[in-house]
Amino acid sequence: MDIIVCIKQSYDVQQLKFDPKTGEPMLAGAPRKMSDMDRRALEEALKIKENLGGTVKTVTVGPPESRDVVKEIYAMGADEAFVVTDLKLDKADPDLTAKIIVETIKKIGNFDLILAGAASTDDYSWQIPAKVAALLDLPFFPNAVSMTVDGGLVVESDLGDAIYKYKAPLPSVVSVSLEINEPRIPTLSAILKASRKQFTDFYLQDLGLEVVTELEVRKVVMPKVERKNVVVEATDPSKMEDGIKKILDELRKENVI
Amino acid sequence: MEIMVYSENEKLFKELVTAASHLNASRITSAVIGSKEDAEKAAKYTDKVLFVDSSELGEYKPKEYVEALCNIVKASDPQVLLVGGTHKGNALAAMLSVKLGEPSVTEVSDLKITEEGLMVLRSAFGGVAVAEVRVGKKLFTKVASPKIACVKPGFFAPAEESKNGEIEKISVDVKSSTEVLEIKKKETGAGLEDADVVVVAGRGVKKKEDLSLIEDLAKALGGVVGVTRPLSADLHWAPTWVGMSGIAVKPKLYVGVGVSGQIQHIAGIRNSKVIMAVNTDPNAPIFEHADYGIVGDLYQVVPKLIEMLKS
Ligand SMILES: Cc1cc2nc3c(=O)[nH]c(=O)nc-3n(C[C@H](O)[C@H](O)[C@H](O)COP(=O)(O)OP(=O)(O)OC[C@H]3O[C@@H](n4cnc5c(N)ncnc54)[C@H](O)[C@@H]3O)c2cc1C
Ligand SMILES: Nc1ncnc2c1ncn2[C@@H]1O[C@H](COP(=O)(O)O)[C@@H](O)[C@H]1O
Repeated sequence: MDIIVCIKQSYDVQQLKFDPKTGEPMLAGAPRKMSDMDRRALEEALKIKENLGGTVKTVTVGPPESRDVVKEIYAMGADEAFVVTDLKLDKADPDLTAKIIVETIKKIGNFDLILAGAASTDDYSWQIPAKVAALLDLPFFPNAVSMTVDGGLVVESDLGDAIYKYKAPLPSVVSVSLEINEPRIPTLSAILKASRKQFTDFYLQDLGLEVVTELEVRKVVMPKVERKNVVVEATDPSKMEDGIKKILDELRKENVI
Repeated sequence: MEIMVYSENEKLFKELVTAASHLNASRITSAVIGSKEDAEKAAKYTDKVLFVDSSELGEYKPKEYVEALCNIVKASDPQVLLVGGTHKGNALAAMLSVKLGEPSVTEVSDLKITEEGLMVLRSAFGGVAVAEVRVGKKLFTKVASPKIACVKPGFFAPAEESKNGEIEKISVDVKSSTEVLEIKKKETGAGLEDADVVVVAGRGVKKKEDLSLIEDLAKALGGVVGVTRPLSADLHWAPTWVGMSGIAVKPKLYVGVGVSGQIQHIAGIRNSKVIMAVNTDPNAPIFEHADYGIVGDLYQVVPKLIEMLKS
């Protein structure tokens, strides 16, 4: 089973800081991490490989900082990482990203299965795996909560109203949810070894593509909701009643209880 | 200008009709992949219904359904296609966009049309922020080339019946190599979207049985109980969860009990009027997003709260 996994180096949204004056995100040098669901997609691919043999290759598209994710990809156990970087790719839209992923996949060659996260940690658009599938004219199964490939692909997709269990052909594109597995934590020696491993670095020219986007982000701001932040201490049982009373009085004043 | 709406979810479909009328559509068309009854229902809300009978397609499969939706779009001439932003809708929209060579955008909470084309607000950075996005350079380029926007549930009031649209059946011829083995329907949530008071249990609640304590608190406040994602998705204590990837709530009062307040959860409670939290950790992020906070052990605080609410 030869598997390709799409892995994004996302902004770590939990740590993102916003300019207190403008409300805009401070993106320069902001911390990034492997997108949460992509880590599960990689874990799932590695488990399949451990069972059935084959290869696990990864595709990462983004600005140059995205290269940092490769070390972790190798430390977890992938065979080969492919990275496409360009300074302008921070402004890529889902159509462009999907096209770049597909052109890279074509360079990689044969595959039986493409895995991705259901939604990336930062853009959270739920689009790229579907677009990759459409560009390759392959079946697509979103938001998998479980899958098996032994004796054919069976995917359980959580589609909101129900869990759909599909028997699917190979190759297909499957995107995975957070719950599909608990990803492994690489050992220190695996991390050390990984940092010496080579990866394939493509530029857009190599793929015959340029940065053309149809979605244009005009402005990003953090919606500011002013909160009162009245906090009372109730760890000490003797103070608890006073604290709770104060809060309940406030809630009554607010007319919500 | 023609705007087409599609959602398999009835409530969201009605919300899309409202969204379309806010865009000053001269004609609203609905795309229906479903039963004849579904098409007849949709006809009461829109000028026209283009309808693929799902019995010819079988149960939902993204690749097969997108063929159907593509036939529907090509049988008409919408400039904008609004799709209900569910898992099913998002997948169809993204695939359709590739087939039509037109852009698609998801997680949309508001939209307008300006001289520059379709402008939307979508959530950004995992729900931390909101982005204003221009979708496509111009509105109209060629026939059957709609800009596609997936609208999140709960941002537009559901439309009322007001039309008696004509229904046109569209045929499809789709061969499928995928088989649906089983459909496990999920229970629906406890009416969280429309509740006035929502009490959310987080991981601070140690055992499933202890949820009864949270239910008692909700009862005392006249509200309903929700949970955070790990309690639902990992521990299966409840069918759905509150947050960006679950149900967005906008009650008068939100109470988080043993909820840490990670950003993905906050993104789904931000529109609450008053936010209150109970947590042992004074540094829990939820306190930054709360109007009222009680630092303490929920197993002591909540019974006391209930007692004092009752007296
Ligand atoms: C892509 C993505 C989407 C996500 N979407 C959602 C979403 O929609 N909704 C969602 O909820 N999460 C979502 N999450 C998960 C989110 O990041 C957090 O992991 C989750 O919200 C944490 O849940 P929690 O607060 O219940 O648990 P924890 O973070 O473990 O917090 C438990 C809290 O309980 C407190 N506590 C412990 N014991 C007690 C006690 N006895 N009394 C009082 N307090 C106590 C602790 O101090 C702690 O603050 C998403 C994550 C990702 C990556
Ligand atoms: N720049 C990227 N490079 C590699 N994979 C990506 C990239 N963007 C998105 N993906 C994949 O597509 C999934 C969904 O992303 P999104 O459509 O942005 O929510 C991610 O979880 C990744 O698996």
